[in-house]
Amino acid sequence: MERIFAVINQMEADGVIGRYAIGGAVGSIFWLEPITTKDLDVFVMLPTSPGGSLLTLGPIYEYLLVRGYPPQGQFITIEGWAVEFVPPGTSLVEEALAQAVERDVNGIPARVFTAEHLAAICLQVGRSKDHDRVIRFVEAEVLDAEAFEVILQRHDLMGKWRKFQHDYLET
Amino acid sequence: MNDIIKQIHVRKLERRKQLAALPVGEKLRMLEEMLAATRAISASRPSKPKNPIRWSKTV
Repeated sequence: MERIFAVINQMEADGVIGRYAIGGAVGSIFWLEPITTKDLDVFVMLPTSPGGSLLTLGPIYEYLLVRGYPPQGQFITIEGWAVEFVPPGTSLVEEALAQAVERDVNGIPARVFTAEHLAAICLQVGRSKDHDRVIRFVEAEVLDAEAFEVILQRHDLMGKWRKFQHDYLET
Repeated sequence: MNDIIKQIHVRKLERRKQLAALPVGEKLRMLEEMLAATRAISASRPSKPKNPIRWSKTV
């Protein structure tokens, strides 16, 4: 997987994408025990097209295709992995991308969402698998309580957090 | 929750914390191993039940 991070770092250096950060299940693995997943979510700021404000994934597809990485539905297969490039769709994800941290993966730098942002995004999305992941973040004791609550307050998620605590964390 | 279940739960939590503390490169290698194992299992194609419970959002 380090080879994928090298490709993405090069894309950023070449200006095909703006700032990027790994999210989703693979992002969670940076903070938690390994959990199974079939794809890699890369959140990206997209450069605007020259002379316009249109944001498009087209240049990403073209750049990767000529390097031997073909598109497959919404994914692009890079080094055997289904990689999806996702522009931020909420203010929470925008903030997660802006505040993402760099981690070393066997000598290759990779930028990843903080544990607090990953857990907050799971809480906001709220599917059963997201709830399971929030429980794992709590059990692993990797969330800074103060930083997490500041994020939740800023994005109006305290009500969801209190309900989550009542439903899953109180015995 | 009885004592044995509590002990299992505590051991599971401890194991998760140990795994979480591993270097990222090691955890990603474990993920790739898990995926290879999952592919091998799904290649065995277990037969489906005759009357499966079906997911319905209307229930």
